[in-house]
Amino acid sequence: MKIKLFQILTAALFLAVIFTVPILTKLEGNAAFSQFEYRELAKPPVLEGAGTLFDPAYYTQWETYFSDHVWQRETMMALYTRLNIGLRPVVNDVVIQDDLLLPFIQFGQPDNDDLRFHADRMAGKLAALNETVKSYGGSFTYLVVPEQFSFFRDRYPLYLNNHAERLGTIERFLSEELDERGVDTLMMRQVFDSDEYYSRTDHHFSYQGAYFTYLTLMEKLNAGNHRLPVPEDIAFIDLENPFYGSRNRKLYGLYPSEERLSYYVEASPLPIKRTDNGTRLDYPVFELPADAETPVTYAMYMGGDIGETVIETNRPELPSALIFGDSFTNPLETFLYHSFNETRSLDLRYYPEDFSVLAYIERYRPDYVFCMRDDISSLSVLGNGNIQ
Amino acid sequence: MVFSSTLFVFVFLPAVIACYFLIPKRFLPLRNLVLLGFSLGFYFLGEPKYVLVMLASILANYLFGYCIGKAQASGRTGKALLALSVAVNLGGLVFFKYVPFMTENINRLFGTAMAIPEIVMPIGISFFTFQAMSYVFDVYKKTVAVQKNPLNVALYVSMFPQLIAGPIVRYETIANEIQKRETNVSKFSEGVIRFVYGFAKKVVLANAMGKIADAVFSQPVGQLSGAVAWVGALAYSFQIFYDFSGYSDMGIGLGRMFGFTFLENFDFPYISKSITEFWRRWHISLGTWFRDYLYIPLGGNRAGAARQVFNLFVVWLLTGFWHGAAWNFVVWGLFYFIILTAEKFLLKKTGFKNPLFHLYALLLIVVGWVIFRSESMSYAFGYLGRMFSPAAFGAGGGEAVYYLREYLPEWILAAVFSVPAGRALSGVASRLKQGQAVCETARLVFLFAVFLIAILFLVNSTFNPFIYFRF
Repeated sequence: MKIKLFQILTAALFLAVIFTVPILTKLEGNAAFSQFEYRELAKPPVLEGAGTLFDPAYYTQWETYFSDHVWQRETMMALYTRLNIGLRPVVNDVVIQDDLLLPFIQFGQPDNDDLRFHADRMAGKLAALNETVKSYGGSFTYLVVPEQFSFFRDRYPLYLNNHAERLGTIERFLSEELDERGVDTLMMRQVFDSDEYYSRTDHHFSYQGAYFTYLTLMEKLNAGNHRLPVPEDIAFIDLENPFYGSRNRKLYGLYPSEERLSYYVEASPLPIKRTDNGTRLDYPVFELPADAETPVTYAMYMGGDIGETVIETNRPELPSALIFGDSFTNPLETFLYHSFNETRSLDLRYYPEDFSVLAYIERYRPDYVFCMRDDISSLSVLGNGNIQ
Repeated sequence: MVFSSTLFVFVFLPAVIACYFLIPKRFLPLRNLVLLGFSLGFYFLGEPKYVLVMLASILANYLFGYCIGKAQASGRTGKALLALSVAVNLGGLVFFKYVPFMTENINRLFGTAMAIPEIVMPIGISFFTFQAMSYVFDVYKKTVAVQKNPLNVALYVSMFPQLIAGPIVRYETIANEIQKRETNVSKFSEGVIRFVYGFAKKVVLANAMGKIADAVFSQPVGQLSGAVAWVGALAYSFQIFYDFSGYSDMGIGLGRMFGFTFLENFDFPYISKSITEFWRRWHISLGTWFRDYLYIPLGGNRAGAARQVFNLFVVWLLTGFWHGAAWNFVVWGLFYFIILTAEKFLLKKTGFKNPLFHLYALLLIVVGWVIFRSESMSYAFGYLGRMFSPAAFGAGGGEAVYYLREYLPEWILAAVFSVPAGRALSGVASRLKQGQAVCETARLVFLFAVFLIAILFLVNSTFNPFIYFRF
């Protein structure tokens, strides 16, 4: 190739790239939400008068808006991810092991004084809840389940931080504080004994893990004077649909995974009436996909995180229950309603900060109250830790 | 707005290229006007209010140049006007950049409790102030004719390719090009090549090294292991080189597209065998600015050893201050003053021929960057202590391993391209007369592969500020 042709091609290709992208960006139209990043994409900034023109933030917002909507953005980010899988041990903050995706955890030593303070504070709140429930004769149990990376902490490469020290300290401090205050606790990490209880590509436990947790809880309660029924004629079915676990979603679903979500069917389904935030729903507890190709997420269980769900089973001889917590409660709830006449579930993240779960409990007086947190969140007083 | 942003690459740049090249070559003043408009717009988009500061600087220096020219034409030296221009320019710089620092230190020294004013520093003020001063100095020295057209002075000071982070373009180097320059495919393609490689240096290498450096330097110094401290120091050394030289490459490339030839700002500084050599290869435009406008006028090395040491002290004190209003920058500048003085008076006879001098230079450079990067001198001392204390190497190896393994491709590329590897390859390729077309095709494919990969990295990032934005 002669020098002149090389120069012409260099200039032409460069101009083609920088002119084509903005034109195609304009033609493509704007998506509102990024499925892979799980966030709303930036909207065009609004000009609120002449003063806005002199605010640098206005132009920064334009930069953000354009960056969020540049032509084929998700394709490029997926390509970037594809380029890096196999090249790096950690991609998009996901540690890629042979058959397992774990979160990358920043390095640093835990502050034990800080953890003790938070454990004491959380235990105080749970103790207050316990007293409230006990005051009308109810029963409260606090369940702590390992987050996926906590369960698989030994699978981290040696040079990465697996938070083992921090998690161990949290568990120890919290147990001590709760024991001191007489709060009934179920630490599931001491009970889980099989890898099948945890997802390989998501931060939750598997459906088998949820079922095992439910059975363990019922066994614990029934060991006393309780006689809570558990379903006996359920059969588990694996969905064929690809599963977009939360970790794999960060990798644009590019990590090859055979993992599938399960659900169950019953020989004699228990008729229920389900109400979400006051609205009656048709589907009981699984939001199943319409076909075998549509990818599914953990939101299949109970339809995901919902502010308030009430399931009534018309069995007045059985007690009532309330469970609140993060998304770990969702698959558990698909079993829990079998054991109670009425099962209420709350996700405090959908309530205002001044919402009082104690007042809610006082109002409905459920016979059993369960709070379920994953271990890494168990000391947090935000969201489902906002117990007041 | 920065060069390494989607808004710049895919909106601003195509817009300015389209508007500029749609105007026929023969209407150069109109093309200059377009460039000026876009340059002011470029600055406005980042600093809407402070574009007025830049315009004030342009006007003031235009008037100083004009008045000095007039004074010299009527037989006077214009020295008083020159002194006034220095006072006004430095006064502006001191006000925006150093008043809070000075107030804080006066309070500390004298136990006073003056309120520390909250003054926002306009981005690039150190660069465009020095650039504007360069015009006035060159007029005074009569190395250039007075520029009668204020728009041309405005274009020189505000030209967006080098406005925010250099290189500091000397007026005498482009005075002719402002009024007469050629644009053609050859220059444009040279500019593209330079821009693309600078772009890749920034978004691929500098940003990756920056993630490591930021993670390490954000840790309390007591938590740092020796291994991590070294990794952080080396990462920052690469970050600042690729960030700054990448930006310079982009600026030079952009200038070339529009027909301007800016001088080189970096010449593989990490191959230096002495600190003296390092400062001939690093931020060349700043070093030569201080040399020509401060060191030599003070007497340079022609007024005896004691005076030379004093002149070096002044230059390096101010070089430190130029980089930032904080004591670590001052210490960094004086660190180099001590080494340069020692090299001039104690080591010069060695000729720095022994290959071990390369290690000597690299070690001092890395130590210098630790001082430069640290938020305070106490942090810098603590950090250096972790680097050189055997006791600090006990734990923390995992974190160091992570940074090396995770960014292994970037470490390799950073090391390879910090030496003239590309130049060597080009030299080999150019000697191959047969297969020239193959080589050129390979160059083209490689160039656009680099560009597309850099775009992928850019789209995947969210925010990537330039380090030298605080200057």
